[in-house]
Amino acid sequence: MTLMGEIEASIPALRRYAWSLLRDTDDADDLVQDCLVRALDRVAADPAVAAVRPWLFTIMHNLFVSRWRTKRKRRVTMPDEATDNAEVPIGPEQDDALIRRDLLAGLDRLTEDQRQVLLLVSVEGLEYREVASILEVPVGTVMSRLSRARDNLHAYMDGTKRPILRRVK
Amino acid sequence: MTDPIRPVQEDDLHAYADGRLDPVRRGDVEAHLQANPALRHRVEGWREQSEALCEALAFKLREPVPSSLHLGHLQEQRAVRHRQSLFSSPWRVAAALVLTLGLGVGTGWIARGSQRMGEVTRLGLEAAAAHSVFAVDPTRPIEIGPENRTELVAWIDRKLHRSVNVPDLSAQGYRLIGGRVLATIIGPAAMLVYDDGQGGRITLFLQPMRSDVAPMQPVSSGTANGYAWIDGHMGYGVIADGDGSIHGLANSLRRAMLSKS
Repeated sequence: MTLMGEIEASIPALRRYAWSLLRDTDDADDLVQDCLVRALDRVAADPAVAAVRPWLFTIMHNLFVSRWRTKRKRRVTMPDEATDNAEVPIGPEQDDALIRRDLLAGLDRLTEDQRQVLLLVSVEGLEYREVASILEVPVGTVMSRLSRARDNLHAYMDGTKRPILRRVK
Repeated sequence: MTDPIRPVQEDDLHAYADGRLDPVRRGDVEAHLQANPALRHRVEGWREQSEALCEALAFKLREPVPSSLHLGHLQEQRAVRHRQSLFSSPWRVAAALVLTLGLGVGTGWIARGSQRMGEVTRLGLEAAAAHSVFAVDPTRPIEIGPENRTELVAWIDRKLHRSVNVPDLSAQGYRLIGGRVLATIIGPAAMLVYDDGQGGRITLFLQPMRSDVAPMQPVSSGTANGYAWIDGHMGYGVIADGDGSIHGLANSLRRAMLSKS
């Protein structure tokens, strides 16, 4: 696959991660657009990119930190908006929709560091060392954040009385 | 089973839950979890959680990507920005003149300022942008292939309102693989894609122009390089990737197009 093809193929995942961080479709797509424009600028200057996906997530993470984080903070201080998440389409199964709502609310209650690690590992499927490089922390830090994120989210889901384990498929 | 030198650590449990262990280590961890039901429950919970998170966010993958995020669209915007930055100083001069001379006189200057870029420069940048977007696409660089050459030529002629020659570059080692019609801010254009059989591609960009003739100018945008010129109210841009000079090719192409028109 060409470099452009690989970038193109990563756009849905970038949109998913951006939305998970910002919880707003328009804001998320603006962040993705910033990220892609920056990526195209870099490619024009130097087309030698080794691993496209971690590289794109690094650009996105840096943009998020430098420009977008404040938006997210504003949003999360409004508690009900985060929990009610009108943007998430309600699926045919009410149980699934409730679990999804709880999961997203649980994600909101993690620290930002934990949330990022959990999403990059569990959802985006990036290697631990790739996540470490994206977030510019040692791998050991990634692993300890991952432990805390997983256990905290699990505890939250237990508390909602809708633990994932009891889910009926 | 458990390796006494490498006891199972928390990191191994995550790597196990994420399916990232080699078979030997996975066996170690499985044995360890068999002996520790509480731990096994915890790790299974992580696995379920990852699946549930993926499901909860899967709707973003199913959504169509908005056109504002299409790479072709963003490449075009980059080309426009690049163009504007190239000519930002005349714009600043024009803006200063607006302040000095007043709005009535000033608007005329702005209109002229925007034309200063020159038709050939704009043509070259359009050609380079089209090349960057389409020529490198391995699957669909073209709309119509050489097997439908007549249809391709008819389509281009119709859109450009001109009879266009599709040059034969086999003497230069390039084979036509097809072409497409493109939209630009000043109207329709056509692009023909040629392949050297080793993955090297050059594109010929064609667009009717207001000017009758303009000398050949080098074009460079990102990794795309080439030449642009105008002959007989037709603008030409020939673009390749990388540093290899195609000046000779551009010259022979220009001669060939002149002799046919």
